[in-house]
Amino acid sequence: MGGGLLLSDLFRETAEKSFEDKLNLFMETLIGSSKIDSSESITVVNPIGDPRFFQPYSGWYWQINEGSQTLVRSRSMWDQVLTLDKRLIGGRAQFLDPNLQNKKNKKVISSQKLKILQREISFPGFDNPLTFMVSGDTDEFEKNILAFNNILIISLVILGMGLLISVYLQVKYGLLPLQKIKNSLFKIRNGDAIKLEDNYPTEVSPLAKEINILLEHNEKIVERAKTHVGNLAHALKTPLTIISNHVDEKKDKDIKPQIDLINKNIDRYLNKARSSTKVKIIKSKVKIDNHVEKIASIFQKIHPNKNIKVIVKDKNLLIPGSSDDLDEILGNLLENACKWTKKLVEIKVQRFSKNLVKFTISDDGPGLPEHKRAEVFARGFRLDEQTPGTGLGLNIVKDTVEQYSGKVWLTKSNFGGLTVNLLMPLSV
Amino acid sequence: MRILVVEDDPNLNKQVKNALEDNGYSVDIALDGEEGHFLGDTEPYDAVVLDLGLPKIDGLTVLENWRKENKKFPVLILTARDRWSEKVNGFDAGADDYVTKPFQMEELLARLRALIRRSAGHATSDIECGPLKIDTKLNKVFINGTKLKLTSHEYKIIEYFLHHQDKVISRTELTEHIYDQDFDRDSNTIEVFIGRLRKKIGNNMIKTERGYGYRLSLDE
Repeated sequence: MGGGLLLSDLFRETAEKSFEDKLNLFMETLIGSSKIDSSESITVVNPIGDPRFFQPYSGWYWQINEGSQTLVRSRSMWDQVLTLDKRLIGGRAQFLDPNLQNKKNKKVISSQKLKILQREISFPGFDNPLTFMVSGDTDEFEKNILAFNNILIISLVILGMGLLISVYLQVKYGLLPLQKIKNSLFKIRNGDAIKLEDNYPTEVSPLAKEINILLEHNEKIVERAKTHVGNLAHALKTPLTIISNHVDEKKDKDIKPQIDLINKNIDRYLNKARSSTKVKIIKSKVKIDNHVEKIASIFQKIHPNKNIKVIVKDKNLLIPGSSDDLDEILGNLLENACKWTKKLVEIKVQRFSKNLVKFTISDDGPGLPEHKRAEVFARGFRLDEQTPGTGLGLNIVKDTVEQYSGKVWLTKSNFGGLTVNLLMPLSV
Repeated sequence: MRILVVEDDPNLNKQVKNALEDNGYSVDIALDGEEGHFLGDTEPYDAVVLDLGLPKIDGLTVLENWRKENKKFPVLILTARDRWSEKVNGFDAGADDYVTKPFQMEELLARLRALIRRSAGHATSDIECGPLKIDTKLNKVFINGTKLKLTSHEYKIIEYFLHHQDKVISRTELTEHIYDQDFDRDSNTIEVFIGRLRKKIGNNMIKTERGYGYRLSLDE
C-alpha cells in the first residue's frame, strides 16, 4: 500500500517535471521568436509550431503583456486574455498554481485547469518590462497520472491476491509436515505408534529426530525408574526373607506380623508407583487374547493336575494401558483361583458392551459367603494363614483396575466356587 | 537329589542350603550369575533355585542361556520383583515355578518338591513302586506300609531310583546326583549303599544291568 502511494507520487512528480520542462521549452521558443519593431511594438515572427496553440480553447496558450495591456496572444486564446498575476517577482520564470489562476480568468479559460509560466523581460523601447506567459492544460498529465494510478492499483491488487494465495498455499502445503508430526504425536500418545516415521522433508526432519530422541529418552527414564524400583524391592526383600526365617514364631510372636506388614507396604506402594506413571503419560494398547493365553499357560505349567480352561469369545480385543498391568491383574486373580480350586479354573473373556470387556475367572473351590466378598479386597486381608501368600493380591488387583476406571466384584461361580468378575474399558 | 542354589546374598544362600540339606538334598551353591551358569552347565542337577537379581550375569540371562544350551533341569525362580510381568518374563526364559521374596522355607521346599516330582512325571507327593512307597514331603520310605530306617545317603539313592523308575542308572549318574560338588566321591561306596538297600527292601527290586548300572523295577 505504502509502496503504491510512493510509486504514484514519484510518477506524479516526474510527469509534472516533464510538463514544466515542456512549458519552459515553449517559453524559450516564444522569447526567441519575438521581435521588437522600431515602432515599439512586438511581433512574434515565428510562433510556436505546436498545433494546439492554434486550436481554440485548447488550454495551450501564450500571451505577451506590457503591464496589464495585452500586446500579442496565441490564436488558441480566441477572444480571451490571461490575467496577469500580481505575485510575479523579478525576471524569473514562475509556475503559477493552476487552482489560484482559475478564479481570476474568465469563462472558458477559467474552466480549464491551466498551468501558467510567466517571465518578465525588459526590452529597450518599452517603459515597462514585458510579461511573457505560456500555459498548458494540466489535464494532459493528470490523465496520464490517472491512467498510471489505475494500472498501479490493478497490478497491486493482483499482486496482493497473488501474495495471499501463495501465503495460503505455503501455510497449507508448507506446514503439512508439521501437521503430519502432530498426527503422529497423537498416534504415539494414543498407543498406535512408538516413534515418528523418518520420511520428513529436510526442514522439519531435525525436529522429528529431536522428538524421537526425546521419546526414547522418556522411555529410558521410565525403564530406569522401573529397574530402580525393582532393585529396591530386591534390596529390601532379600534381608526380609532372612529375618523372617530366623524368627522363632513361638518366641517372637510380634515380629512376624511386622515383617508381613513391611512386605505388604513395599508391595502396595511399589505397585502404585509403577502402574500409575505409565497409564497417564502415554497410552499403549494391549491385545487381551495373547496375555490371557500366556498367563493361563504359565499356571497350567505350575499346576499340571488342575484344568485351566480359557474361553475367548471375542478375539482381538484391545485395552488401553500397559501389558504389565494386565499381567498383574490376571496373574493375581489366577494365583488366587489356582490356590483355592479343586480341579477346574475357567477364564472367560467377552465383549460386555461397545466400550467394555468382561473377564470372569471361576473356580470350583470352597467359594466365599456373600458377606465376606467385599472384605477380601481390603488391604492385607487373608482368608487363610496356612496357604502361602501375602494377602495382598486382590487389593493390588482392585487398585490397578480402578486406575483404568474398571470394576471388579465377586459372585458365586457355576462350578460351586467363586467367580471374579472384571469389567475393563476397551481401547478406542 | 542334587540341587543348585544361585543366590547372591550369602546369608540367604546359607539358609536355603541348610534347609535343603536338612530335607535330604545335596546342595551346591553359587553367589553370582557367572558361577551359577557355569555350575548349571557342567553338573547334572535335579533342580535349580535361581535368584533373578544376580551380580555379573542376571538370573534371566543365565536361565535363557541354560535353555539355549538345552539344559532341561527344572528351575525355580526367586523373585523380589513381585510384579507379574517379571514372572512372565521368567517363565518366558524357561522357569518352571516361582517363589516371591520374602518367603518361608516351608513354601520353598514344597514348591521344589513339587517341581522335582513334576519333572519326573509324578503328580502326587507320594511315589510308589510295588510295595515300595516314598513320601517326599516327610522324607520317609515305606515298604508294605512299614517305615524303613535309612541313612541319609541311602534315602537319597532310593529317592532317585523311585523318581526314575524302570530307567537304567549308571554309577556315575548316581554319584553325581547324590553328592554335592565338594564331596569326596568314590563310586565304590555306591555298591556298598546298593547292597545295604537290597537287604532292606528285598534283593530283586534293584537290578544290576551289567556294564551299564542299576535299575529299579517290579518286573523279573
